[in-house]
Amino acid sequence: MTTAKRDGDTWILNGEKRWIGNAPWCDVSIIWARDVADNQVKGFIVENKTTPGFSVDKIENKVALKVVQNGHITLKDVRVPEENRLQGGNSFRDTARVLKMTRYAVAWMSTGCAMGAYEAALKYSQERLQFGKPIASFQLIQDLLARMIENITASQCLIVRQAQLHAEGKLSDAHAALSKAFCTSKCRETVAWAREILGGNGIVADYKVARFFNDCEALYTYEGTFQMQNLIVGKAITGLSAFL
Amino acid sequence: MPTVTKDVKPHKPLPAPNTDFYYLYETLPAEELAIVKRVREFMETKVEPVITDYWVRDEFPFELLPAVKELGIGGVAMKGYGCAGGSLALLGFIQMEIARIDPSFSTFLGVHNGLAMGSIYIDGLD
Repeated sequence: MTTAKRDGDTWILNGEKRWIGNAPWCDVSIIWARDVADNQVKGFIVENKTTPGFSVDKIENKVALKVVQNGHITLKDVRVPEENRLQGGNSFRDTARVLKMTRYAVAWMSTGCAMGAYEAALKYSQERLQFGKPIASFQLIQDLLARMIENITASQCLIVRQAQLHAEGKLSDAHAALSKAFCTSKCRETVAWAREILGGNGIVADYKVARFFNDCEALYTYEGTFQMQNLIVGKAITGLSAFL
Repeated sequence: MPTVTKDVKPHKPLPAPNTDFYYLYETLPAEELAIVKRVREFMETKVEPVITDYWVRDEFPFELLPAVKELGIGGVAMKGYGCAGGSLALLGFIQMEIARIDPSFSTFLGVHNGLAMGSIYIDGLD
């Protein structure tokens, strides 16, 4: 847990943050920390490269989203001026307003990931010949391709409606959670079928599908796991919180 | 005796992959659709040819950042402060387009635009 303690006009931050995207090279980070005085979560703008006590270690040997540089941040008595505190972020509820929007975006991203894998698999199946015919002409391959475009189209309909709900001022945490859970799980199915269509070439990065296959695992988990999204939806539909 | 020949239909070209089966891109207004098409062209011509190599080497293509800046999508769906503006649907379509070529690249932009700038935009004050 990362903590914040007020000390006059400054705050003292201590703790660790893992999996922070862009952290190994970016100039500024947003650090969320629990205020030891009121136990509420508060947000701070921290300058990475010039703040004493702030350090980042790059997380090595990932197998998904390998282009993204993720960092493990350590904060040791990091001093941040009060003017760098996000004045509208005074509780976890305020943090959740940010998470709602990032989950909204991940639903779109996972749909894009599925689209990329589907397009690569379809093109491959139209060109790859077996018994003198493109494998796209085989019933079992067409069954997989149809399931893939069904997943993609269902996800697209959901996320376009999600955008309409936002425009109408109705987008709730549960709406964004449901979209994130559904689209990432359907992406996971879709990229797996794409990999299957490519056979052995599906595990070779040069054929692109392996990249989508691996990357989807991160989309499925980050910004709140699949199960966490379902607990948000579960609370909304039952009226009962299962959070501990 | 005449030779029996079977009519052979000439091969028609196979359709290109289409992931807009229900024409959902048409739900965007023309000016936002033009931005999405610009992003698609950028991703297909600048990112796709190089990104697998970066992915394999665990490296980030810093040399693409000036071109990303030129795209003018920084702070999309945020109003004021020099941000790109536009609807939240536009943000979604852009993120989908980018992930269609590379989910890492959309994650990099999602962290920058969403988690970092978004936190300041949503919870910060003037």
